[in-house]
Amino acid sequence: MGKGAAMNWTAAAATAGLLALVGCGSDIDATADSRIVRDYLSKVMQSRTNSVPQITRARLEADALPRIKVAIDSRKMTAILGKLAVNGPVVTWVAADGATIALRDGVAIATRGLGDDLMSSYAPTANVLAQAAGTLTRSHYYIDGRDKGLALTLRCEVRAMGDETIEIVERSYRTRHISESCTGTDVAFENHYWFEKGGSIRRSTQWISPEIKSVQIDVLYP
Amino acid sequence: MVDVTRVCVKIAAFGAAVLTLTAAARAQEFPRPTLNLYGAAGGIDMPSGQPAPDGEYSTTHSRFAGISRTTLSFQLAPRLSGSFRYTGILNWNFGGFDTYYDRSFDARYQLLKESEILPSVTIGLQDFLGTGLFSGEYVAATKNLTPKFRVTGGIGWGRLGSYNSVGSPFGERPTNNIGLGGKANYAQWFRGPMAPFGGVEWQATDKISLKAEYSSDAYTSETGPRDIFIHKSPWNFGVGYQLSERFRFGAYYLYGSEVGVTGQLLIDPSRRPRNMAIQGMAPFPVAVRPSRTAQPQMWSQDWVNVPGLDDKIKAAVAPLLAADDMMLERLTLSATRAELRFRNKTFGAEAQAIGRAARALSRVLPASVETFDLIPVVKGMPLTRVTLQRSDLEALEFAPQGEAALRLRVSYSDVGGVAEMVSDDNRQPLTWGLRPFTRFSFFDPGNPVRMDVGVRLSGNYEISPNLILSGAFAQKAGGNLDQARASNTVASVQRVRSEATKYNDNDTPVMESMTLAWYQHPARNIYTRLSGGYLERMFGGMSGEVLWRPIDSKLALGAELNYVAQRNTDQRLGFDEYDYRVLTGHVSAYYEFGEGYLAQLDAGRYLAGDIGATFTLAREFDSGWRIGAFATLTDMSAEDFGEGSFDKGINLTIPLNWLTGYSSRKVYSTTIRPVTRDGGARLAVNGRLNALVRDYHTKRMDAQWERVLR
Repeated sequence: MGKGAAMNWTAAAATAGLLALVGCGSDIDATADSRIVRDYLSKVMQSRTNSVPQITRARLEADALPRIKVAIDSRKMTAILGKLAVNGPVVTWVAADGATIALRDGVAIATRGLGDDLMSSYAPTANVLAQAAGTLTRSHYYIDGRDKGLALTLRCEVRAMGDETIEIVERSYRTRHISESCTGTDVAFENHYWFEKGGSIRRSTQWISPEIKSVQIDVLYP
Repeated sequence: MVDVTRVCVKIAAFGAAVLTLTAAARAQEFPRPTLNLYGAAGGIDMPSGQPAPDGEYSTTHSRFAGISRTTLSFQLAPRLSGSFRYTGILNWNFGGFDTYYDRSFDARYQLLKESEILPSVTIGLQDFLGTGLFSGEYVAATKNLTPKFRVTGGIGWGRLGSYNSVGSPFGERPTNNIGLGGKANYAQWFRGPMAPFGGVEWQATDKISLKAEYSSDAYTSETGPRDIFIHKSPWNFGVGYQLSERFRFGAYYLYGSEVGVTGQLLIDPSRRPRNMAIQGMAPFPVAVRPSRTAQPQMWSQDWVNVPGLDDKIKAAVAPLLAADDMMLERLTLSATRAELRFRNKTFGAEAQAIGRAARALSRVLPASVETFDLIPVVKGMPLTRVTLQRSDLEALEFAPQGEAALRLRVSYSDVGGVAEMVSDDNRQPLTWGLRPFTRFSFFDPGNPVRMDVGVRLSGNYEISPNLILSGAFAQKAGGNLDQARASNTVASVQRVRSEATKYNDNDTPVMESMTLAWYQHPARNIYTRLSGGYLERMFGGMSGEVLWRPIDSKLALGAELNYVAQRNTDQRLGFDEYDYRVLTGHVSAYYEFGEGYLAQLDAGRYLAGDIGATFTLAREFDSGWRIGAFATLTDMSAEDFGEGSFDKGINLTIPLNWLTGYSSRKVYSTTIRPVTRDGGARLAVNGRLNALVRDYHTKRMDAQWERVLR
């Protein structure tokens, strides 16, 4: 019986595994797990084939639409995002896969659809950062595994790093490089901002969450 | 009496040693205990005085000398834990079983919490309900002397007092009249020979711990005439390896003659697995209205007089909801207020559905509409009115901890008294699914796991949102459920659930259910259901239910009445095979103590005509995980009931969302019974009201409120 039972088991498990992929129909309740398995697999396949989007200045000029590029090192992903909504000073940008990042004058204050999302934050304004005014506090808010709010409070040191010329899609920008070095319980990171003359952030690397870590944001157009 | 003195001296010496050593210990937070071969906190084969972390659920499988133990343990409360165990012993040669399988329950209570000076002390009952083969009682004390070193000492009775006993201070242990099992063998507790045991554990590295113990279990039955193994020494040694947060393994040298192994799965149901973030598409952001002073014309209320605009607005809202697989049922507009009735089929966290619906409205409605009434609808029943102000949504979308601020400005109220459920015409009246199914039977007396696999076609046809025709057809592909041991029964008792094997023995397609169900929320706090047809695999007939549940109440009351007939085992249309009809039903009380502790009492008449009550105690986590235990006592005698004496078991519910992080309302539920018999059997009708309604009431909505802006 022992061996027969084991073989039954293997066969049954394999059948169940295979069949989990083939569930179909219009009833969401009945087919939820099949859909999730397929979504997950397609995501894995996508991330394997993700390549840096090729974009030219000519193309940006021709489209004449606001565009930013976000690179997530920890995921080896880069995406071009478009403007989705505006709420006061906050602009929500959306990627082709539906993930969003909310920037307040260029400072990342929330993300959605990335997994370990930054739900909300108490972050310095771009103006305060541009002044490189020394020490400030920051709070990041997440949803923890218990579905409860999790606050990460950080003390940050903001410093002027000098003038730098950076290049983004065939164009050079003269910028002031500002660094923001933050420490909190169990976490430490550095954000960097490259400010243009008018006070807008052209490029930045900003820390989002323990799992996503830092993302680089380039303002491509305008 | 001399023996008692001896043991007292021993205990005192142990106590003194513990006290001396603890003076050096400075740890305030004590390391979590590891599990023993019985799947309980302990050393190797002996228990310890520490509880598992609150809420922890563990599955342990261990083997040595042909003895296998599979144990499900749950730390029900910080001090209280319970276990269900399935034991298999090779070559037992008892009662006609070559391999003997037995089921047993444990209960443990922590008497004293560990402090800098005092140890953690636990009193425990092992196998206190079953046949008593593994019965033992103990009091054990454990002290973490350093964060890496702990020592345990205890005294045991029964099996745990069988080696080198020091006397019987509380009298002789009466022979256990095993009988049908299932009775608490309390006459034996703490009686008979008593023996000390103890052990040490050293956390050598982060992953590896070493254990040594002195066991007080002589394995009298196993080593005697049955000769399953030879007990050469009371000393056991072992090494534990923590592979990850959730998996742990151990290898042991036992009783001077045997090698044992164990594997453990440790789950904290209160939190999603580490690195399992909330997945799913980002929401549409809130669309903020233009400033009233800058663009007053946008705030005009004249739009209410434009014919046909309502329909255009509905047509614009519906696809925004559909993007999240939610459905608009009805949208009622006035110049300043909108009431949206919608169906959430996507989000396990109900608050997340509320947040999505609110944002969808913000993107479409004219600026003058300030107040949103969001009403989730289930089976046509409007369950709760969530009222929020559009300006709050706009202001708090990106505010630090905006969701908490939003909750303070949101109100919940009842939507009862709607006689007819009107729905817009964008319903999809027919939905269907074709997918594989698995059906398990755990721990039956002959085999630890039995399983069938097959394909199930299910469908729903909504005549109106609250009048639903549903059916499920299944075709078994294979499995061994039909080989389950047919239990011997008493002729005078109607065979109901004990016939499961016959219902599983179908190689042709079966109709699992085919019902017409009608739901209503006719008045404040009152919900009703009327179902008819082939209600479940074994019974068909009529079922009616009324539930009283205020949206923020700890107490709910319900009543259900069913008149059903037993279906033929081929699960086609007929009822002639058994020719059995029964009036069955219950009055129910549901109570929430807070902190996730739930109780339910159902009193009434069961399927076999027996009268009694079922008591269920459960712990529910915000994630939707739920573990409960139930027991049913009826006027059916233990003799008539048979093996186990009365119906009891464990319920386990795990949300798919918790397992994967993806948004889904699907949950996996299972009920584990030591034996399935005919006494205390309830009808398994679909769509019972309490579970449907409760999800959208204050408690559950707030449990995952943090996701409202996700």
